[in-house]
Amino acid sequence: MDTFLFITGAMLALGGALIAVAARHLFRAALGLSVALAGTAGLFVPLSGEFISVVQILVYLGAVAIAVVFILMLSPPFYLQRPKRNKWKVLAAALVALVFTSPLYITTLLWPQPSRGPSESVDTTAKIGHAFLKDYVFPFEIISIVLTIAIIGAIVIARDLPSDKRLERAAQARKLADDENSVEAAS
Amino acid sequence: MSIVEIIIRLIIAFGAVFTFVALNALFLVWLERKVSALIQQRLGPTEVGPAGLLQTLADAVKLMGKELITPTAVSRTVFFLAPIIAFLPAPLLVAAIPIAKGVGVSDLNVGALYILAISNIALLGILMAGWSSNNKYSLLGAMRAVAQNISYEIPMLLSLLAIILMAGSMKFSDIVKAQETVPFVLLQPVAFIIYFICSIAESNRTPFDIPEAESELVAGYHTEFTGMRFALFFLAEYTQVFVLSAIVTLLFLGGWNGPLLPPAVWFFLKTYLVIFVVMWLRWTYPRLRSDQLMNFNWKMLLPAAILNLLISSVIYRGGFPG
Repeated sequence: MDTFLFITGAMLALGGALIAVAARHLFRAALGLSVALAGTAGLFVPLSGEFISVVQILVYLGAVAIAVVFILMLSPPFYLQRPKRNKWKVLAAALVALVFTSPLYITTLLWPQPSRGPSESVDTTAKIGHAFLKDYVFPFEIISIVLTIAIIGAIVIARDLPSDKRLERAAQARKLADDENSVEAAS
Repeated sequence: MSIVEIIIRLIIAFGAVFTFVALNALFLVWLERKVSALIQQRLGPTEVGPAGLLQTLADAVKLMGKELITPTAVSRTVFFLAPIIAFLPAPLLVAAIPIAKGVGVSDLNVGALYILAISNIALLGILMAGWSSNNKYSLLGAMRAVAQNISYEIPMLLSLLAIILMAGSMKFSDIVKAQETVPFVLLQPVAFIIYFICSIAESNRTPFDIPEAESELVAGYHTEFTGMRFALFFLAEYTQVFVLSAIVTLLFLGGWNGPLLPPAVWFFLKTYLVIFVVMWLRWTYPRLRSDQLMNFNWKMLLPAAILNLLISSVIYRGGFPG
């Protein structure tokens, strides 16, 4: 049963990753990414990490939904002609991916970890909670601070325009719209 | 467990879950029509079967018989997959709900969180439907659905946390066990109200049905879908209504606890009572505007949920036991 779950999860993860890389439209790539993330969540189940698995789905699928919203706003609609693939860009992307994942390969090759197999079913949720608030409380708090800083940064960027400048821009936009309307009326 | 046993168990679980999803949707559509008729001083369906009970069955047969039209300008694969992905969470959610002590497909350790996580998948289905339809109403509906679901998830999680704090577990059977004497609705009234509002908003029902507002967006994200594909969206919605009511029952109303009657009967009684309230709300309140919805969430629900969590953690866990 565990092997079956592992193989299914791994295949979903790999297949999704393949779609994410190979799809021609960003939206489909994001869908592939969500499949890959769901597959990764499945990998935690035979390791009796149900909590991590569920959090993975909760956090990452929500994140994909938000990413998709940005994709919708930033990418051209799917019925338009898409630009051809640039061979050099593909190569460069592969190279960058290789450079950033190589430490992982090197560590697993040099210091192979013996497979311990799935641990017996225990309440991992409570264990994770204790680990967060006892042994690893310092890194946990540091991450929280980083996230708070990110939120404050987002607020600062969003509030950048002083109010009078914003009014000015709104007036400009209104004038533009009026001009367009009068052109339409004239024609 | 041997392989054969696992397979037999899977088949039984599948059969039970899908039968329940189908029957529940049939019944709820009929109930919705009757409740709306009651509120609008009409009779509702009367012709097919006793009190019109078989009306939805006839409608379902009609929907199954209809042609599946795929408009030429849609993105075919995504258009085909969208209703399936939107429907996928429905059986997954029903499978995680225990009906009585030890009765149910699966009583997960992380049940309460699992429900929230899996409901997210439907959102992806809605987005796929909106994008692939190549229709501005569909896309607008999908965008509204995302904005709404992402925002309302936060106070929902926070009010859920207050309950998990009280029960000390995310397992539904433990949460129900913790309510044997007093249901959490009396100890956590604020969390109950927040959770109830948020779960109605998550299921995109009136007064939060902005993603499918008929008067503005035709039918929102499922404008282009016909026949069984459209029916899948409908099935998903009614299963979601059942699931949200069942969760409210389990988390706040004491689940299957109750005197005299068997536990499962209590569970279904409470659940369908909550469903009735949800429908009552739908036919009583007008639809909110998008900005009203967002303001209400970020300026009222979220601060209230955070305060509630803070206060209840001081009151109920102030002595730091365990």
